[in-house]
Amino acid sequence: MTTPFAALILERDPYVLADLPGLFQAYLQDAGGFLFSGLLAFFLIVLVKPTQQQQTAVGKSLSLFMLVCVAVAMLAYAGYGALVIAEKTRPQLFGADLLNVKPPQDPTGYVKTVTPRFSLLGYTHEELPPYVRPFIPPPDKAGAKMPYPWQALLLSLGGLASLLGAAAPFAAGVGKLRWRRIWAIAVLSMKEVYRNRVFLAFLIVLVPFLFPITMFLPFKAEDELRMGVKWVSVITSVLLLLAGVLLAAFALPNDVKSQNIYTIVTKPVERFEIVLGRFLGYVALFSLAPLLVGVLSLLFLSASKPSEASRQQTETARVAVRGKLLFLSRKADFDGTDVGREFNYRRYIGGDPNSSQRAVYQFASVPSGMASAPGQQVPVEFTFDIYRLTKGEEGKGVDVNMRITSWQCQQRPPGLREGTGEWEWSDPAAQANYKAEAVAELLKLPRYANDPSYQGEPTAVANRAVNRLRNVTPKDPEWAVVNTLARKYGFYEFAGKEVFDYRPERVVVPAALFENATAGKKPANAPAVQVFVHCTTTSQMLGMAEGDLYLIEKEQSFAQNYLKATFGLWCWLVLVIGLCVTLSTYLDAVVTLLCVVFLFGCAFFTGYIQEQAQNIGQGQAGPFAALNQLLQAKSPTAQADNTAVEKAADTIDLVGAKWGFRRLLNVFPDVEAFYWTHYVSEGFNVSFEHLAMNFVMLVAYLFPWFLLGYYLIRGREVAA
Amino acid sequence: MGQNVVEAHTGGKGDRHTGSSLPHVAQNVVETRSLTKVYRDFWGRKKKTALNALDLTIHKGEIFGLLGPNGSGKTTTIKLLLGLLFPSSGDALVFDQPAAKVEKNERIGYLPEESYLYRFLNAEETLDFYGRLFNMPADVRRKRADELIEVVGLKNDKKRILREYSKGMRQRIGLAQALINDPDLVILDEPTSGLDPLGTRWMKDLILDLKKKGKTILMCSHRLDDVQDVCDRIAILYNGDLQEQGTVSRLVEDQKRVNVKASGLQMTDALERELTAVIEKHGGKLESVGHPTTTLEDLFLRIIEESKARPGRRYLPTGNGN
Repeated sequence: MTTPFAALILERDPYVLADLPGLFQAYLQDAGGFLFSGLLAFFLIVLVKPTQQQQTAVGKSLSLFMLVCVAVAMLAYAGYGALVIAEKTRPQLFGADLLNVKPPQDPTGYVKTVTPRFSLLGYTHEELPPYVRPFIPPPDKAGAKMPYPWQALLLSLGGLASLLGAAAPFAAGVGKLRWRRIWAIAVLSMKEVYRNRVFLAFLIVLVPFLFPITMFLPFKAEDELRMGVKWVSVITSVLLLLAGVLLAAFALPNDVKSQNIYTIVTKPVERFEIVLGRFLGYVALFSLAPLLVGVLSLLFLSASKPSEASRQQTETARVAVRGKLLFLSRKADFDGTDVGREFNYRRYIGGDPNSSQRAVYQFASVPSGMASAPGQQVPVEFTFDIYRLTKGEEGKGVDVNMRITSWQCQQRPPGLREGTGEWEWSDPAAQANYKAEAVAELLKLPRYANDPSYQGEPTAVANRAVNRLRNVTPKDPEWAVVNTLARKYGFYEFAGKEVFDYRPERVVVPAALFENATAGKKPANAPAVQVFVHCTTTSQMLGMAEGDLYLIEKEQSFAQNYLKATFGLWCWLVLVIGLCVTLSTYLDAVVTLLCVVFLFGCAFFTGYIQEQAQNIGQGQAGPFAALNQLLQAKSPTAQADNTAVEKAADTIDLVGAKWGFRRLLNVFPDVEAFYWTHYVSEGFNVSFEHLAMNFVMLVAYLFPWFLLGYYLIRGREVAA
Repeated sequence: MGQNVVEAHTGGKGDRHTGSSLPHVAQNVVETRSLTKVYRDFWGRKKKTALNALDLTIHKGEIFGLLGPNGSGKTTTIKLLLGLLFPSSGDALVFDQPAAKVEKNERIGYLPEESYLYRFLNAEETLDFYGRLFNMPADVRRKRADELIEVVGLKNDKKRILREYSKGMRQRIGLAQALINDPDLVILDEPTSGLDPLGTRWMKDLILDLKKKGKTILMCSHRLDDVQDVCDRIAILYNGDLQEQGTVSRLVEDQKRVNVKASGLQMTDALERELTAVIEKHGGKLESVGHPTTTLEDLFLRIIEESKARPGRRYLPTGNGN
């Protein structure tokens, strides 16, 4: 990693409410598949050997409904299989399939995780998400709506039927649950922790770590607060998760071991109430903990008196508007230069005044409030990476021109034979009008009215006026002119901004440009605002990623943002507590602990596992091919002999191992979606929409586990 | 004083409960039909048959004792009736419902062998917790808890956490939690385990008191004298099989012997000779004659009562060291 500080690295977009339909479809396909396997196994066991134990776990009347659901799911899956065979296409899963469908093949491919899309709506082929487009043949008539993707539909239907079947006994039993009993067990869990002084021990261990790390280790002034936030986050996460896992994993097994559970299950207690009570008890307890730790650490951070530089960078909560990144030049195939860095997060444009290479940030829409931003200015912030081809000048950065345009001011790259690298307006007449009006507006100002350099040959005067307007700040009287022109033409340019390696910089854009961007009827596919970045220092390269440049809508309170980020930690805690409690309905405490540590730990490496699985069959051997190589004592780089065994191993890898990896990835929680510390430490606002999505994801992930726990605890002989 | 016992053959001391004390209407509270439990390992291989085709019926209002050596299937039977285990075959019905049904627990109170309670709670909190499990409103819980704490004699210790309790005190609070719902069926697993003689007597009196209130009691115990003292009917299990079942008085009655008790006279040779003659005249044979002995339990209880009545009383050794 080459960017230890000062830049928010975004490898994925946070989930937003608009993702819900797609996520729901993927959920039906994935979770439904697991539940179908469970239901099928259950019915097979019941058919072979029915016992009172199984009847207790389900109940006779529900068995019929479940049987119907299993039958529907089987039909749906059979239909899906038949379509796959008949259409001879790759299975259409859209989004639910992390391995066969690759992330978008565009320069913004640094966004490694792609949110699943809802496939049941009638898209045209062009509207399909770019990463699934190659796999779906277009309809005969151009622009026609795509037929329903029946494969995805059947798979979702099978999942839905399985989900209903598996959840039916649970839903039927919900009416029997009594809050008083659940709460009694929850309070018992809390008292247990409190009376056994677990919490006290935890706090004693934690408090020393809450002191800012800057008290113990020296950091650059601007990094003080940033490192303090990260340090506190890591320590509190580790300690709280450890405490949560230990307490929750041992709760039920200890009850069984000490036989305390005998006195509970012999009362009119639904067994699932015990699971729910334990879960809610620990969740209530650990809901207080992150909040308490958050407030304490915030106080400690404030008391540490961080430097002004660090406060400027971190002690804020910028509400950033992010766009998509494209790399463009006069050559159509330009998609940024890979400078060969191992961390290939960024791509680079070459620096030269005559270069036509631009990094273009496209903002599909902008908040309407930006048009009336205070001070008639909207800040654009950016943090770029400089890849130096020559040593350059000591202590000096590289120069950057930044052109900001609305959709009403389209730009075009210079032609291949044009001598200049300068981008021009698509509408030359508008450009000419802009120049003329720039002169006229400037001359209205007293200091230019009598300036001889603004008299004479019109083209030279116009160029001078445009150049003058490229370097104004809101304090200058010219700012009003810039706003007037931006309102009318949707164009603003800032030239000669010196930028340094990984140092956040800021320029301000006239707010009137956003007024222009929100006025009129914008074509559907056109971005509302574009920012063209041009590096003008010769022989240097400027690296950018999608998260490196953003518009700032507003700034909010750091303290509030800091506390909001603890919600992510809370989600982690709820996740591990839920896993522990549900798994321990059947497993031993230690085995539960190991399982949860495995699930949670591996979840941080899903990207790596996904990458490995994707590469199977594309030059990389899968597990079976590798085993074959091992057994035959062959070098992994040896030429394949194409023997029957090798072909069989390759086929199993392609079909079976990929399938297996996909299922494995489904089992791991999406822990990174709950991680917000990097937002806080870099001073970005965590929106409530993201937190709401976190909660939805959490509930959705835990639901199948709780179903599993429901069956296990009901079917368990607690005295065996 | 002055009471003699002649045992031509005796029915022992257990004549307190006779067939006449059995309920007139035999309404079944517990019924097992060919109840079998086979313990298996993870792979389903048979490990042990803990209970084999048990047929048992317990009527409303009776005290039923399960007897048997360790591993005979007593506790397995109780666990099956409570739904802690599932039958391998056969049926276990409690209040005419399958034992696995949660609803039946509304009318059951269970005291496990060891008092498996949460030791970080005090007596009040313990009863409040179990009261909540019965979905009892707060005022009812509080009233019931106060009553039971009084009944089990823990009024002065109700604020102490159970970790500080002696085994006997834990058994008392365990019984209180079993009675929190005023159950119709009380299942007691080794109820006198860990209790001192005073506590044992208290427990037995309480069991009899519950019977008087119309409760049905199922208990299992190793202490045969306890069972004999309180049970109406018993079942004897061995190796998972039911060996014997019936009323205590019928099972322990020895039809071949006669027991005569008399008071107001001293044992003399002449008396013995005359008694022998009378018995032989009726075709019997005198086996023993002498003054009856009390039980150690009775002796102990009498001494404790006297000590309470006369504080400062103590044993003084006699001169000959006897």
